[in-house]
Amino acid sequence: MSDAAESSGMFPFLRDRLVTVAVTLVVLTATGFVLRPLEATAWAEVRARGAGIDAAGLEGAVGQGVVAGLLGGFRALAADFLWLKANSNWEEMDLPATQTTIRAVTAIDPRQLYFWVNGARMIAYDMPVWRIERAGGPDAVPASVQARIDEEQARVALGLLADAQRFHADNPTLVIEVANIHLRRLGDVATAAQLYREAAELPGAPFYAARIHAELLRNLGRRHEALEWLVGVHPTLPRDVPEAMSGIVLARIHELEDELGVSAESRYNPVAR
Amino acid sequence: MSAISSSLSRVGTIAGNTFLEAVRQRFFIALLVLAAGLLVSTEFLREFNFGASEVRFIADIGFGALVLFGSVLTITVTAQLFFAEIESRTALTLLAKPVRRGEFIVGKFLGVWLVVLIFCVIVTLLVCAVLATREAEILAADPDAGDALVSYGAVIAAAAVQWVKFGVLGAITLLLGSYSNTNLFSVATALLVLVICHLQYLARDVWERGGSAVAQVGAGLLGLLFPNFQLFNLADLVTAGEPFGAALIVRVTLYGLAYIAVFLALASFSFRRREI
Repeated sequence: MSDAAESSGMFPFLRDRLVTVAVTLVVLTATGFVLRPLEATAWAEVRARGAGIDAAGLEGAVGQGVVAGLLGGFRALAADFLWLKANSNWEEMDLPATQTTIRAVTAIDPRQLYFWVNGARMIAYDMPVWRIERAGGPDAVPASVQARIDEEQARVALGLLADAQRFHADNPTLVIEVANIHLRRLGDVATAAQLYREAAELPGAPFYAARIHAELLRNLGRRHEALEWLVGVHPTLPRDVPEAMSGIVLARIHELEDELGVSAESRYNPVAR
Repeated sequence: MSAISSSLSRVGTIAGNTFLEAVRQRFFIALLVLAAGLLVSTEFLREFNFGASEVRFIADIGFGALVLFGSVLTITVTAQLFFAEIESRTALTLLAKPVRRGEFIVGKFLGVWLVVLIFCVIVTLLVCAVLATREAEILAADPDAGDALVSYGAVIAAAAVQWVKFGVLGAITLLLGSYSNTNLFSVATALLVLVICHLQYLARDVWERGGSAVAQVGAGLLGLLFPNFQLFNLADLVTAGEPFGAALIVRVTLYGLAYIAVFLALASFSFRRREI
């Protein structure tokens, strides 16, 4: 049998094939090792700029026909279609599906703030309402349980926004979104005030961030701090930009001075400065 | 010296014939028309755009068309032309002459790579035209939007890097073709390898994050055996604010060229004793 096989050329054929496979595997492994430093440097830069997908978020994309699209590019388009799916799930108040598709969308295209911010809003503001409705409605569910649900959903949303900040470091929009969740869902005014300040100090921050920081300090009873902050901010506000609301900030400063009983000679006077 | 020049001449002849055969194929034209059609359709697909800026969305679709149809073109044409030579017995005639098998492989590769270059140039010009048209409209409507929304140099560099990736893919297809017996098997396996190469970085993520020993070994091997195709996706960075530097393009290109050389050498090795 073996003589027949050998004489028919089967063994040399198999041996050749095995040698080819073995050489291929060894050479490719060695190439992988040799090129790893070159690849690692380039990959670190490419990935830091948002290329590639986050494996953790991929679960939601499997079965959506999206992975095939990703292989051939079409990242923005794939994310857009999946975002439609997320909205469809949201309309049906399907919490797990909505949450999963939001994760998948942000994993596929983490470059777009729109998905992160709106996804976090769905999770933090809409989902607690669904859960409370499902548990019998706000009248039937005890306040402590409602607070727990609010906190749980807020934590999920904050987790999503923390991931967003890995891709969009120092983005004031994300910091403001985090601040709002602390303020509105967790009732943590002090943290929200601190975050609004951080947002206001970032390049490209909207003018209202500084005003809200002062307002929250005022609510916390830290009026001296609020006054000091606004006096520092006011000279930086352009007078010809309506959104800067320079006049309103000045009025707030005077209100605080009145409340704190600041003497006439110590009052803020922008003209004198 | 004359041996090298005559070898190059033989490679050039095979490459030239392969190129002519490839561009004559209807498949090439069909893919080009499909890619162009998809690009023109961005005007309508914009309605589905939620998050991205318009130019980024158009660039994404354009490069999507380039990558998808370019990959299909590279794999299919490489396998088809390689097996056509074997099935029609012209390879037998060719290799009976003083043509080395390695020269045959390199000639085939260069011919296909040249066809893919033509495809890349045409699609990239179309992407630039669509981007320029929309950019002009946006800037006319909103003069505060800035001087330029797109770096066309970056678009061309990203497309060039994709062409290098298609080269790696073509060389992989030749390696598979030199080992397998049928065109269909080579195409199917090359498509599978394309998927693995695009997603191998996910395996490496698993490797780096830890997990079971078996998973780590498997993921580590995958990361070593297959080139990282996601590295060539510089298109994602074309409209990402700061343009990518020349150093990155050089690194990625060198990475691709090194893999092309290795896969071609392996294909020649695998083809050396194949019965034709």
